Amino acid sequence: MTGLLEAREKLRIFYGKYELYVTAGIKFILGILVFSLINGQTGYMERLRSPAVVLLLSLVCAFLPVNAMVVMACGMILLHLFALSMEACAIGLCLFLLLLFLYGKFAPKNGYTTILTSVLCFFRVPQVMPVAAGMLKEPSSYFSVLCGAVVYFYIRGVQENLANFTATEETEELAKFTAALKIFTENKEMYLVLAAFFIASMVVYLIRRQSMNYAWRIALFVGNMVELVIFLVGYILLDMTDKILWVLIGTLLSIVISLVLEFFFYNLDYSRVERVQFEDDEYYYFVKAVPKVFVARKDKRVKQITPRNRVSAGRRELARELDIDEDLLE
Amino acid sequence: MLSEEKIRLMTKMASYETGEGKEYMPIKQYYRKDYVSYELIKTFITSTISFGILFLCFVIYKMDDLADFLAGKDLLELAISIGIKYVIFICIYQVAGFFVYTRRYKRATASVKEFYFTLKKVERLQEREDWK
Repeated sequence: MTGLLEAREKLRIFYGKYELYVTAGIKFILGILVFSLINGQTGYMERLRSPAVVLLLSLVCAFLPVNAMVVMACGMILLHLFALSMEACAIGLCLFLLLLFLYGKFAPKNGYTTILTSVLCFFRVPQVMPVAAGMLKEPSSYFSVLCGAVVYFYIRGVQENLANFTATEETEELAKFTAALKIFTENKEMYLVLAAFFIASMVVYLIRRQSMNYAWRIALFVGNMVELVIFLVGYILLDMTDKILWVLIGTLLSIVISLVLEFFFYNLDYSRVERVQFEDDEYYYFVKAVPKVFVARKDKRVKQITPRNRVSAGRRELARELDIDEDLLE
Repeated sequence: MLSEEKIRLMTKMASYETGEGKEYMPIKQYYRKDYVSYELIKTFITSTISFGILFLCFVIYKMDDLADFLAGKDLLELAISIGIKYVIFICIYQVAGFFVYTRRYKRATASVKEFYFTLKKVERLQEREDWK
């Protein structure tokens, strides 16, 4: 454990020292992942599918705020959808505008949460996002997880209904609009996921705010279990039992990542809890203080005791120096 | 001669101005009432556009059965019903906006207060240097 705590401190110091480069590097890698995924999932416009475009956009995103990546990702999705069908693009644009006006305007600092939720949805393991958001953020941020999930379901819905969008008859225009809208209205799985995510986030938030011991750990386990139960029951009711394996994998991964997050952001030593009581004119205070687990970084200093330039002396010189017989030094 | 204390404080202020201050300092250019009102006007515009988008999507979605949907309905009554929904929608967003922006203004006040406190310290140090 001490080794882990030391590693955590080293990592913190490293991040503090090279924050600019580390953040840029993370954004660059995330950018490559996001733009490659968009190209992989919706690559309807040939010109955008070039790796050079992905690299260039990721490089630009590395030096801009994360919300710039959100805007660029939305733009890229819209261009791909436009190449497929103008109607799918129009509904996509409406979706992004609604998300921006109804939510993004009030809580603009949740770019990472939105992007990561969409990315993890594509990898079929998004269960960690609501739990992580519940642990690290305030309730107003939980909608960003839902936004990420909605965007994922729209892209997946377009993919699954490609035939509806590729019809060439002009009379089919209205049908294409309706097909794009049905992705939201008739997708029961989407509502299940949104409900599970929101409930899990709220459960984690409500438990972690309690003053009981190990509140975060209890919160993350209960949150994951609640999410798992909702998904299992929901998928069984929707007759989509093939997804249950991924739910189990996602929940296991979520527990592991949540424990790592707890270690980094909320590592308390409950064996040294202090309880104090005091009062002022208006209130009586019952305070419970829990110290953080902290290990000071080992500061290794090598102290040279012997002289640096050690002169080697032979037996004869030493005997002469000590004024003794040379044979005595055998 | 260099004043270490002054350099320390000024570095702290510069760091604030490029970080947290970038978000909060423009907010403090307004009085609370003005800031919240200005943001609520913007919220009104964006929520009206959003309602328009939602309404348009609803009309497109129901286009096939629109004739059946409208048959036998009083158009004035329908318009009033849509109007009521619009007012409720706008009210919800105005109330949410009021809480969000009032809270943001309070945070900005607390944050910028500390900045001005440091600024006063620097001014005092400067005055002391000038007397010398």
